[in-house]
Amino acid sequence: MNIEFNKIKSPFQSDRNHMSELALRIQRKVGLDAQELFEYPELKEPLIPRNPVQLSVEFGNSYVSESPEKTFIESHKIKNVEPVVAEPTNQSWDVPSIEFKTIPQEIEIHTEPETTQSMTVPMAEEEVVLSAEEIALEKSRSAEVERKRAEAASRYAALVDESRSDYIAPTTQKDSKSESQLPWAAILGLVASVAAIATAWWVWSVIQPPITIEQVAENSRRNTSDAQPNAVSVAPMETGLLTESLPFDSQLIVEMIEDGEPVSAVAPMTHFSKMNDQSKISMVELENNGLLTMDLEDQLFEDAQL
Amino acid sequence: MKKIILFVVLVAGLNFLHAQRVDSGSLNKIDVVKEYRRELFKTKLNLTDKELDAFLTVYNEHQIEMRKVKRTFRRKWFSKDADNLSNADAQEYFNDAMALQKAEQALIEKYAPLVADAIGWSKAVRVNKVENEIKPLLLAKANTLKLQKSKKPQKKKKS
Repeated sequence: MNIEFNKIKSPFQSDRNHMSELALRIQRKVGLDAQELFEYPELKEPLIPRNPVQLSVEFGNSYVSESPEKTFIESHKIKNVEPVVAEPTNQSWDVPSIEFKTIPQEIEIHTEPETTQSMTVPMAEEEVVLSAEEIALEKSRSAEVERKRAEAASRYAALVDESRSDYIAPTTQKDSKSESQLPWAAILGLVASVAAIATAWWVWSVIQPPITIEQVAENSRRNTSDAQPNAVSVAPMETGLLTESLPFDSQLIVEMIEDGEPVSAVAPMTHFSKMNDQSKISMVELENNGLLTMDLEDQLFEDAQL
Repeated sequence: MKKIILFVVLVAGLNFLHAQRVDSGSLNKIDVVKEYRRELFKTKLNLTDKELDAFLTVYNEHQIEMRKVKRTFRRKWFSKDADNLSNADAQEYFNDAMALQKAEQALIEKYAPLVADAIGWSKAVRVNKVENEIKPLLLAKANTLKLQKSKKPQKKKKS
């Protein structure tokens, strides 16, 4: 870059025309067009020519097709085009009529970097410009590609729905199984609750509150007052005279009174066949345990006891 | 879950212990009557504890032998009315009653000296009278305690 430094004025002495002229001169020297700078300010990387370059133009993408063979490629359009060796020029060309489709992210197919880079290769103006009919044809093909993409999307959505339904089915089956089985945990809990209530009731019935001193005194007072009317007061001298003249059972009762034993509990000793049920049971149990012997067979020899 | 099972087992154990207490209630009642009988003999015969133990050892054996003899007679004649027997049955009844009296007399002759060795003859001759006095008292005590029928032990069937 041969810039005449002596012609450049100091920036502190800026002049608009001078700076504009300087910029034009620099652009001209570098090979840039001023108009291009305004239209593509973001284009900063220099274009690197590749030699040779297989020119290929792809409309849309083939990822929606079912197989790679059905990939829609505009190969018939470029079959007769000979490889173009791009000359290292500093010019780029605008291709307004070509639409480049973006690659869907959910499809994991990568294209060769050379294919995408080939789009930026400058080519001859007569080869790029398409007629109105071709543009219409391309649009119709693009529409077809869009239709195929929509069909594929619908198939994909159907597959997703089917997989979801397949996944949900087992869970519903488990629910039906669990509903059909008995709720053992609930039954066990209910039984445990009933057992706990029964145990609490049993403990409450067994454990009695302690009797206070006032209650003990009241009970003793009631016992003495109740026993007072029935008490038999017999003089010791009279007792000896009376008991000898009384029958045997009556003598026992008198002895029990003297001993302080409850009189009402003593039943007269009668024959076994004339006893009440409780007395019969008691006699049998006492004899079974060897505590006494019944005299059922002594009717004939009642007076023969020694 | 483990806690629930442990709680159920604990409740079952408590119920089992309670049932054991209920079943052993009748045995406790018999023990009460036995103790009451000991006190009656001790009081009415004026025995010491040593004499009482020696006396009851002999007297209980005498009572068991007496019960065996009486039950033999009872099984044969208890179901029959002694007032309405035929001549032959009345004679047989008389013979069995005499045999029973002789067996009882033999038992008395056998155990009376043993009783006398334990408590002396002066007290031994009073045993029959005291026994007759004690019987209604024991019955009254048993009725007060409301003794229940105890389950008979199942006899093994002879094959």
